[in-house]
Amino acid sequence: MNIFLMGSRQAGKMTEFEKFAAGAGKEIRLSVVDRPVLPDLIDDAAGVVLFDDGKQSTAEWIANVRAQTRYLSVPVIAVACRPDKEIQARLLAAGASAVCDCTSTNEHILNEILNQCNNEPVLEEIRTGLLGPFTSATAMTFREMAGVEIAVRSVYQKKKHKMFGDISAVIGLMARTEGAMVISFPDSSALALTKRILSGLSDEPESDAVRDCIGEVANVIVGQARGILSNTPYSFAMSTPTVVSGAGHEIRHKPGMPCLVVAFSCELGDFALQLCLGI
Amino acid sequence: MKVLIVDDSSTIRMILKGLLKQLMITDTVEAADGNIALALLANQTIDLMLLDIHMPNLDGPGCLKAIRANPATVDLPVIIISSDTTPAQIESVQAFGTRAYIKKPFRIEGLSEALSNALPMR
Repeated sequence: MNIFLMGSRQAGKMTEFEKFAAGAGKEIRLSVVDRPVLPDLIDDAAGVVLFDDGKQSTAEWIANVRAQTRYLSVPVIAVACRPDKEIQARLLAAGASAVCDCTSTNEHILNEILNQCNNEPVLEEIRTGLLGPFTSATAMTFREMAGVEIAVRSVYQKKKHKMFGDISAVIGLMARTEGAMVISFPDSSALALTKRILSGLSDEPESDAVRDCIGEVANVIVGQARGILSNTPYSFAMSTPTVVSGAGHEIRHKPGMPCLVVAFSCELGDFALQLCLGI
Repeated sequence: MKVLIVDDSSTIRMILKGLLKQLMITDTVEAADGNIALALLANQTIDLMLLDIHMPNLDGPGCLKAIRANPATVDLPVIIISSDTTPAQIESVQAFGTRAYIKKPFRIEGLSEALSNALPMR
């Protein structure tokens, strides 16, 4: 289990926690990061613990980490420099999954990570039988519509993880029960994708054009996946897309229904596909 | 030749318009759903229609049914454009005498071939 510790070593709490976690006997690998940006190899991180030193920059560090991990299942636990509700609220608003403080025991901080971390494996049958066709459909859609190759960063089952998007397209799916596919992009990726798709037709697409384009990308992905999955146990009917936009909106999934996430990266930025389908 | 493009996505309408232009077809009109398409057909002479399946208000199959029931448009060449590639969906629109079916996302080669199938004398 990889845990990243972020903050200044001068914050005594971080050194104290580092010693405790190293000896906790849970096969924990710790990496200390003293800059506001995580290293590239964070896709399999179990969590990030960020130690607040009382400066305003802590919230910025959290926002940076959130931007880097926005579609990955990586909880960010902030440890506030003092037990103060105002600081706690500021760190949560910046994107922390949970906030402890300097009076919290090391065991409590470690338990917060273990409770928040989302390492439930996706069954191989679901991964290949259901997510495989959606992943292929996404790759084909990006290649054909935008000339862009994509890569899978992570596949996981969403548990407590909060996911945030700037623009998301939602398509209702009707299988044995009602579900949905949601594809979410940061604003910058959505605009870059729209520009690429409308290359030569519209140089500076307006927000309505971006919304329409993201909806159509989702429509094509689901249509292709529907074709691949027809006459299989995962066959479904589909609705027309609805697009939701607003910086940092939270993408929830239907309670009680398994929600699978495929996080992608490409030259235009990161994005994620979220699939809730009663099967 | 005048082509009516019917799709609820402005992105798809824009892409199709661009591809048709590359094929030297510049006289196009657009509709965002089946109802708007039927209204345009009542007022204008259209030589070919590119029709999406899944649309709000009146969808592709509903629009096709109305077109085939109207003596003025019963023989209008129609090419279906859709991301829905299930055999049942393709069969359901083929029953209304469509000339070709283009799967989204499409390339100019696919559109050109569909136009040749729909309008062999072009």
